[in-house]
Amino acid sequence: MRVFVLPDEDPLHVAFTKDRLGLFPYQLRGVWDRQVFSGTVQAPTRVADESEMIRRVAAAPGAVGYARSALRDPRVHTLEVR
Amino acid sequence: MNLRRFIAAWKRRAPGGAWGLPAPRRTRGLSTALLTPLLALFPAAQSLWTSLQIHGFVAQAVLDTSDNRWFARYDGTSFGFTEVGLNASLRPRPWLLLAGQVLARRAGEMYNGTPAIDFALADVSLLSSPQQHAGLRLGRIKNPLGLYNETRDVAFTHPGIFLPQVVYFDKVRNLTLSTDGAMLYSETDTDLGTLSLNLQGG
Repeated sequence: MRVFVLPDEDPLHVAFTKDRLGLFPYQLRGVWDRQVFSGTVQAPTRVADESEMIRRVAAAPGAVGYARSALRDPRVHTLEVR
Repeated sequence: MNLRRFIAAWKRRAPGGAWGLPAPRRTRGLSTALLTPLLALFPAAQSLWTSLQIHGFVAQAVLDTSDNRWFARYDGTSFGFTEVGLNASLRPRPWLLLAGQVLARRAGEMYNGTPAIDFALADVSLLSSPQQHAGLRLGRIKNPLGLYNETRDVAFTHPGIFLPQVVYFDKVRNLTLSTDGAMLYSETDTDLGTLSLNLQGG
């Protein structure tokens, strides 16, 4: 599975990380850094904004990401998180 | 003993402005959508190299000591502690991860900076579900000792520049650093926390 994330300072990334994962963005980065630098996972791919997020998730099989609004794009499956 | 140390390490950090701020109000009431492609099959046409990732780091310490040359080559100010690493990883199949890292380390009289293979492994995923994953690693594997042994040479992955010697004793560093062998691992999410089991030999 490929994971896409927005930049650390992006308001949606901050909100998603804090509200959903219970971590600050730098703590999330620390979690994946410890695994990337021990060879146990690959890092998430950073995208510039939500439109690139949707485009990249749609193009990569088995990929996951997050966006602010629900989509009508038939290439992606949307799970709503309130 | 009069010991003063000034330590500065080049670190990658999260931007200071990103934390401590409340989540912006405008995102509160809105839904966050998770996106997953409908097509989860791995297409044969996808290039092998699209999954290639390369990461690296450089850490340089500045040490100032009067009598304790631990990690320093001489009394006074020295630059005797340097860590440089470069790693690459590739996922040619969804169930297979190949990863390797070269590490060059200067540490006082102990290490002179000769590059060495820090890890080089193949990770085969045997089981993967939302609650549990398990797999087999083969090759040179970092030992999961304490909290930080696996990334003890990567400054920005642990608090402080030097790790506490009571757990990460540098005199037995070569014994504890990594294993050339195999490791079966599993992690299970439970209501109480994450249960992690590792069986390693080499």
